[in-house]
Amino acid sequence: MKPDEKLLQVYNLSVGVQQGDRYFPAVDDIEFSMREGEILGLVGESGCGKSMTALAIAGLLSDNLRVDSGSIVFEQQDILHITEKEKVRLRGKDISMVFQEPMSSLNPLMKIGKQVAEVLLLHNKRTAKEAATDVRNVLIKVGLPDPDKVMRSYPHQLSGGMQQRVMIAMAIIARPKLLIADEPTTALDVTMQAQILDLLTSINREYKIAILFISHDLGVVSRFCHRMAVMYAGKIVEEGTVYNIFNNPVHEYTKGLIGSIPTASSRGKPLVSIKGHVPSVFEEHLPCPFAPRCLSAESRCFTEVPRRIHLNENHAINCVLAEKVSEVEYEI
Amino acid sequence: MRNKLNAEFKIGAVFTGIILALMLISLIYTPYDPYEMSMNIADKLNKPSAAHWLGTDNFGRDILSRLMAGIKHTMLVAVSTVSISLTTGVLLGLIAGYFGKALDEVIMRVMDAVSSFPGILLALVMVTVMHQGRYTIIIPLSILFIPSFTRIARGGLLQYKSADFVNNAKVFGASRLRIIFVHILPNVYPSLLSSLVLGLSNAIMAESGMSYLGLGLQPPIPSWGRILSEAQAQLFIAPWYAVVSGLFIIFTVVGLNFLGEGIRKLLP
Amino acid sequence: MKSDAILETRNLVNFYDDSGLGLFGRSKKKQVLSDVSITIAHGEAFGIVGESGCGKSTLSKAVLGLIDYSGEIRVKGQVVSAKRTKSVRKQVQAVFQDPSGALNSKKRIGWTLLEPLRVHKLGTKDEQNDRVNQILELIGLDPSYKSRFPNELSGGQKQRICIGASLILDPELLVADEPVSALDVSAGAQILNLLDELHRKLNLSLLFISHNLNVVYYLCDRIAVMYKGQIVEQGSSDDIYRNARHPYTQALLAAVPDIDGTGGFADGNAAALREPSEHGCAYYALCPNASETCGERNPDLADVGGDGDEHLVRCYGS
Repeated sequence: MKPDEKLLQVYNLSVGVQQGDRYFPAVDDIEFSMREGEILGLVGESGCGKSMTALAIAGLLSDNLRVDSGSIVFEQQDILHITEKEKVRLRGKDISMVFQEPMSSLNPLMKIGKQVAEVLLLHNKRTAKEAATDVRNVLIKVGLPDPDKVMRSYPHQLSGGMQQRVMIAMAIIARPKLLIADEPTTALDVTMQAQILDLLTSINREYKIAILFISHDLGVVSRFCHRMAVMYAGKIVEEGTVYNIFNNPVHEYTKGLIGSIPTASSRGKPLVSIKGHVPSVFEEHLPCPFAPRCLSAESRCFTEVPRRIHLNENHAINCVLAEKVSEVEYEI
Repeated sequence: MRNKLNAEFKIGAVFTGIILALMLISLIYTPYDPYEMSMNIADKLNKPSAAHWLGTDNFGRDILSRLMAGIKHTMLVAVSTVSISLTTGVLLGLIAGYFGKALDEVIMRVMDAVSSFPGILLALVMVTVMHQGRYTIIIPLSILFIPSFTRIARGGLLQYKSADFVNNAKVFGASRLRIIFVHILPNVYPSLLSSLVLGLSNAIMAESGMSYLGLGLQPPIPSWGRILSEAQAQLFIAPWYAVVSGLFIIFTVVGLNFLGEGIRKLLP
Repeated sequence: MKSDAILETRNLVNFYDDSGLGLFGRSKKKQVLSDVSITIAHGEAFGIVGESGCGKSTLSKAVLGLIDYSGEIRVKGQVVSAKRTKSVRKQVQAVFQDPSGALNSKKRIGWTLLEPLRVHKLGTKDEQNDRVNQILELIGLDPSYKSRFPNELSGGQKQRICIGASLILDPELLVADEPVSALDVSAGAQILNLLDELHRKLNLSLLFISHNLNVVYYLCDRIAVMYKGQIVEQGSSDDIYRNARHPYTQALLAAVPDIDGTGGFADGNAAALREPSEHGCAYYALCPNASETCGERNPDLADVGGDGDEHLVRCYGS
């Protein structure tokens, strides 16, 4: 693969909920890509479709959800249209996933050593003994200093932070190219969260594993990701480098979201509050779903479908009024 | 109810509706007098015909009329049984659940004892000991049904006891009784409602069973169980007699079960 | 004791009965709160910050009279017990974390808002209705919400209703236990704005509890940091935020990721540096600069403020 080639490309992806004979789009025509070894944050509030996007890429959509259109290209291969067998191999070897609740992702009746080794035995054709060595090494790598004790433990004997470390160990033991992390630190305390983020950063640097990081926490994304995409009601409204977006948010939703987070400097000032509330998946969506809450909405926002406009190489927004804001000045 | 009515609910409602309609009709009209016996041999054990839709029994009484007239007695027993056991059971369950500790232990162990006691035996003993009234059967049946309602009420209460809306009510100073009955109880209604309907069906089954054994409603009341037991004696001479009275019970019980299940699915 | 204190707790202690299974479990008591003493002045916003299991929610439950405790709680100078009279209850109201659980799903909003007034038998029907409308206006919702059920509302709207219900009795102190953690960012901002506005407009005292130091700093005048059931540091918000003296507070501050471009990194090791000590400092096992003394005796809270501004730290090294 040439260095500039994309690891993952998502084109016009739409995923929705099928209820009887009615279909409700939850992810609506989104597009983004990831380079090798990159950390991309997918941010948004609950119900914006960020988790569903992750599940679609991992091929783990539940039965009532379906991909309506679009394609997901991973290393030049459209992974939406491969056989179930190929999908299983891809999931174990090249794409892995870490979820929010480590306790419900681990089998409570299987010892940690066996659970972590299972991934290897399935995909890498190792003997049990070789696998045990690998497991020990990966557990040390994820910051569990007494791997033998951990391998003999059952999940409930570990703390939440340790369980999440085990999940990460399982996800990286086969050295995947892409790790999808769906709110991996949301269930953890702040100090534990910082440790897990440190760990993910070092894994990303050392093994060049790209990370698709799903989160509602802009603070975490700003500290941890290279690039980010902001989702609202199934659409990506703004995308770019973390630096560009936090220093020059252009879409009104991104502006509102950033302004609504209390920070050291916002003390004593009212927070930005976006009026109204997030539309539910089952409500009818406007061409621009944010239009009713947008501070600078005009009448055409309610009729025209916004297209993606590149403000520069590292910054794009989805807004009808984009040309108005396209002359943003970037501080270097 | 904004939820879509499910098939179980619809079937159950239709079945139960038919039975209730027949009962209402029987209060003012039955095709024949359900008690009037005929000495005429020609009137006895007639096959179903245009005159007698479901035939006649060994005393020459119209079976349809007797089954129709039986509904109100069966329903009376079922409804009173369920009302008594529901009230007592819910009260005990709420007390056990809210106060917990020793009181909870005592109440729940008594409930365990009641439900582990063979029902028929208990009813036998009670009916024998007590003065044999027309509706004596209601008392043992009520006692037998208490534990199930106690458990549901207690379970529901425990589910909501530590909910924040209950904490809120404590914080603004609502009394314990008010919290139990005004704040928590409405949340337990859905599960109580469906078990109430299922309780009715169980009570009908139990009453029929007891009457079949001669412990239930006393003759000449046309109880379904009694009709079935009389029909059994004529099983080889007049098979339709047993079949139609059996079908009547099944129809009602199935209807109520569907209704209960439908309600359970309908309410969150 | 200061007479303008709305709430004082003195040496609050609470045990959690961790006795395993029924008859055969050995009775094992875990201390959740040890010697927690706080004072909240009239009209003050007091924040408690700490991670899960630090005892901050237990403290709020004790203050609300929802659990038993030993020690002393005074409301407006008057000692109160866990069993409270209605007139004491009226003065201290609560907002909880999950607004869906805090509203009775079988009751309409209007009923929920009226209920405290009914319980306290305050006013005539008309007066009660006027009060409800007044509260709805205060929380920024129109009167049509009275006929709705909680499941017809968004999370933010539900939390507004919860705040409204807690204000209907016109309390002196509002205990808010993680009121924005269950909400989305934008809804959370609205709730924080509302609480801040009420705090200023009604001169309402706040006991605000959160795991998020940024949120507490935004809203509160003073902050207490809790760790394993103890207050380890307490002072003005600026003292805590800009001049933290306890190593745990420092670790917490370093860990909170801030969109201003700070924080988000782990301070110290993932694993314990040493065996935890039973009699020593609660943070002994994780502290990067603990000495031998720290493992032998738990330090007392000492005032390091100097300039008359109280800044308490429980650390030998401060």
